[in-house]
Amino acid sequence: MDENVFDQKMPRRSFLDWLIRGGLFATLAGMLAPALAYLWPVTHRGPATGMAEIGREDEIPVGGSKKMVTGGTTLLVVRTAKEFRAFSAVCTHLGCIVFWDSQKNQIACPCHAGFFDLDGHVVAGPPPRPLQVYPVQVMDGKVFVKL
Amino acid sequence: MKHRLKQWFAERFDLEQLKGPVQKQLHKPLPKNISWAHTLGSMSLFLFVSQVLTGILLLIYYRPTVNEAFESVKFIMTKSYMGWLYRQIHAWGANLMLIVVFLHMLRTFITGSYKKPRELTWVFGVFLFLLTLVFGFTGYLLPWNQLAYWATTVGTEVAGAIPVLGEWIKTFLRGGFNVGGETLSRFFVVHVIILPWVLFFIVLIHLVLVRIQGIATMDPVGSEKETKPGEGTPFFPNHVLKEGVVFFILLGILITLSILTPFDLGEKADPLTTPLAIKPEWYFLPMYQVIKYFPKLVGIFVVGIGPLFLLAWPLLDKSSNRHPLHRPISMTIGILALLSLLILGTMGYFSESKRHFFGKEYDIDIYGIPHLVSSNANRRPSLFEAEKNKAPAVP
Repeated sequence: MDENVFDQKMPRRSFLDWLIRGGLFATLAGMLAPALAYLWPVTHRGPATGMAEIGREDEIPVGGSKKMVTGGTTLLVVRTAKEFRAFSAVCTHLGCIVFWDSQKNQIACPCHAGFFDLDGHVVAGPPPRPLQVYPVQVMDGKVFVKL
Repeated sequence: MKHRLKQWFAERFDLEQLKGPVQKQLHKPLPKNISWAHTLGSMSLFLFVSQVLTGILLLIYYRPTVNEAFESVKFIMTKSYMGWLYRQIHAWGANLMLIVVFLHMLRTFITGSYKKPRELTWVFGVFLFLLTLVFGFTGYLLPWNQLAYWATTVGTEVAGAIPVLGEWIKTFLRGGFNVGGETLSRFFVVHVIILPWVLFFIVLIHLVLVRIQGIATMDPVGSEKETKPGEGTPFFPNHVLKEGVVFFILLGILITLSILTPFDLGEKADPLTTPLAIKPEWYFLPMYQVIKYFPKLVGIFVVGIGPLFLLAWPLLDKSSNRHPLHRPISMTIGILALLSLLILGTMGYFSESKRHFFGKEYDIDIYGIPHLVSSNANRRPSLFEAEKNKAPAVP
């Protein structure tokens, strides 16, 4: 009756074996996990600060455009006869930078012939989604984009 | 002096015992069917060593930052002594290495050497080929020129189309949302530290397997006869001599190409301007062309099948014949695969450009289909023809 059932199921030696294996595994995993997390890029940003100034009104002629990087976003700003329009300049197909084709009155991607209209909608080509459009305000001759 | 040195070692190590295995490996007889095509493996190894050595030389002056990378490569090419040659040999070596590794794989396929018992050698070999491609992709970005920047942007964007994990993989590869300084650092670390060592150890395993199991004969699986000492071709000096000859030819080709057709550095990367007609390096052209025909997701699936088939090939083809003429199905699949690589690559190369073929101008669309623009009649004469028309007729 005094027989220890635990001893029969798992001898002390193999229990220690498992303990050592488990310990080694835990140590390795404990070291690997933070190293993997370290590899993950630091992508968080500060809070978006509302309006970003992208230049003076007279820098862009009517029918012209300007490209710039603001707050980690590449923007394309186009000046039409009536207003300024701001788009993400990153083509939704394969990430090339689009440009304003003033002769065709279209936004064009140089990589795979994707075309967008002035609302950012796809007119032709392989892009799967429209370009993101950002609101623009002009104050005191300066152009601001709301990111 | 030599005697005393030998004695110094002999008093500390059992030299006679060490001598045995070395002699055995050195004079191991290779089967009679060993040919010039069997030097492709050592050619790959030679090119890898050449890449490591020229790579170390380039590292002396190269700086992996957005502001300095392009300028430092320019410095290597213009200011440092013979730097241009080392960069060209490194760039050409990378291209040749892909060709040679591929041909080595093709030779193994044709002679059926991947069959039992050498399946694992083949699998490790396929990994070596894939790693060579990754080497090319990561190294291409390092000069930080326009072509490199945009090829990397498009290349990593393709990875973004993988379901569920795509966005995650893309951000991980780029080290952020866009290709930038973080991407350069990552690619640099992978190219100069991680890949060389991974490749080194896999090459080691690959070579040990080749040595342990010996070179495959053309006998069918299960009826190979072991080459006995005294028969076959001795590894040293016969085969080593062959490798030596090939080594010097390859060295000659490398230096000739480096001098006669050097790689341009081009313009510095500009994240605001995508140049027209961005294309990947030639070895990615078939893949680049395939993904155009399918929606993103399906395209990636189709492209992924190739490497998987290569890896699993020894498990799929378990027939015992090695001679190519006795394996009509395998050979047909192989030839079809080769042809599709060639055709897709050519279409990718010519896509989205205007070309003249046989005096007619063609506009080749994104899918690689040529459209006739104009015939010979209203074509502008080329510079050469204009020159010819001007020249007075010689009586």
